[in-house]
Amino acid sequence: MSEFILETKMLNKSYGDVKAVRDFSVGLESNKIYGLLGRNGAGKTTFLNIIASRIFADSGEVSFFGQNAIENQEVLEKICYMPEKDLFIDIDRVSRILKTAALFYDNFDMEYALRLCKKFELSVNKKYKNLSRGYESIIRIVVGLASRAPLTIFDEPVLGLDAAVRDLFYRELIEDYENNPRTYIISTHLIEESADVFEEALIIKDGMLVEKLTVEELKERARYVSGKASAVDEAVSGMNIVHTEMVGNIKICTIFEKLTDEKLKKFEAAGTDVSPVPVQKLFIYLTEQDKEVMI
Amino acid sequence: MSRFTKCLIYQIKTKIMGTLIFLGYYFAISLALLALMSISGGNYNSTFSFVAGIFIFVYVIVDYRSKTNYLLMYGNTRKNIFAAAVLSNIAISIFLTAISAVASIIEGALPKFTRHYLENGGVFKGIYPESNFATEMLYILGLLILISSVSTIYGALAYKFGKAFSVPFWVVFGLSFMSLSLPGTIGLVKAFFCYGMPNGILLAPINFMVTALILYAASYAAARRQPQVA
Repeated sequence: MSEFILETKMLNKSYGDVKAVRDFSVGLESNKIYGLLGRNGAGKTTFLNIIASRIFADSGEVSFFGQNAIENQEVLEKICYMPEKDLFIDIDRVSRILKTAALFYDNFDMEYALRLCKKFELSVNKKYKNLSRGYESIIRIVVGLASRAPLTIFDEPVLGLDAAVRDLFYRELIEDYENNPRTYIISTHLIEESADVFEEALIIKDGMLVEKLTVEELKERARYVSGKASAVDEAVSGMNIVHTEMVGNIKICTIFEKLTDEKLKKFEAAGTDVSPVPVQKLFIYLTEQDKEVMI
Repeated sequence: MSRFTKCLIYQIKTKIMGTLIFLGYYFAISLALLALMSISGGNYNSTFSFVAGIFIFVYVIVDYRSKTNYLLMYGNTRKNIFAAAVLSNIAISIFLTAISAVASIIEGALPKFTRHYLENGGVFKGIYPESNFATEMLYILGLLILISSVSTIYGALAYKFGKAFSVPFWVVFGLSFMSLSLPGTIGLVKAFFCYGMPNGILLAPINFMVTALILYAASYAAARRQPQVA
């Protein structure tokens, strides 16, 4: 049996001339929360749709504990994928949606689902078509969390939710994860507030996996190096620069690589300032097209 | 319980609910018409089988896309979703045929003013002289299954190709009525329905079932590797 709950090998998917997913190989371990991060159109949803058999890759493999996952009922029933798109039946009431989810997921916890509805102030008597955008997200969250599926996937779960409800979601996710460990993949744009929830981040750019590392590693590797242009250039020469900008006479380079004491001393010796990079900023730098910014 | 059984339970449950709502409306309108006829002295003709045919045609088409997407979301394979859809269509056809049988019996027992249609032999007696109650019900069942298969292939192709299929389909569908005036077309239609043939009422359902089988197989071919279209 594979050590990974989910493994993809060289996945490729194109839409006409656009390559949505390119040579995507990754192995995800059991009982971890993964953040799937990428800009709009980076290929996040296409990747998720492929692993959940909603669409088919042009080439490559998807396996679940070593078993082929494509259109494999035994595998698919262990995956709960709550997509961003609207796939619920309009006329169904929330209570019916929960009953249907309970029919399909063997481990579905109805008591917990109803508790979540109460916490999120979602009326079970409301029809889906009458829910606001925020509550449409909440019903996805409730079904996903209560499904207790070994692999639970949320695509943009917090769309339309205000800060307080988003916070409640993260807290519920962590609490339920601690009580019922399983693997989560969460695709989101709101990196800063969700970064603490993720154990590992998968960063996608142009359909390719560009980084797979823990959030701590992500934070530790990134630094702003700022100062006079000549000093900064000297300090960062030969390093992986992911972003450069000029603010007046001050040059700010964002570097992203494993920092040794030797490298840190080099910054000090060059007379540059070194400071941490917010995760959201780092994500933007890692996924943007190469460019220099002049302010 | 297997995922196929779960899909089937879900499909049958929701389709029965939809059908019951339709029946509620139908019988409410029928009773109102009946009451009107009893006052005005007109004739009330049963149209249940005809209306049931239209209902199943529209319902299966409308249902195809939403249920396919919904059941895919819950991690079901296309094979299980499709098989459950076909069996639930057959179940609904049987259910509607049974309602049709009950409606015929009730209409037969109603006061004379409602029985003009029945006393003149109805549609069946005119086309298939040897028809009786049982063969008529078999015929209706076969026809409803055929209609559901037509709707299923429409649903599968419309899901796959979108408006590129549905718009030309309805244009061709409209034109097909005009083609009835072409020489030979009526003959083909009559042959398919075994019109006026000895034992035609028993032979026609065989044509219906064979055609339904072909259409369902073609629908599955279109659906089995179909990416989700939201």
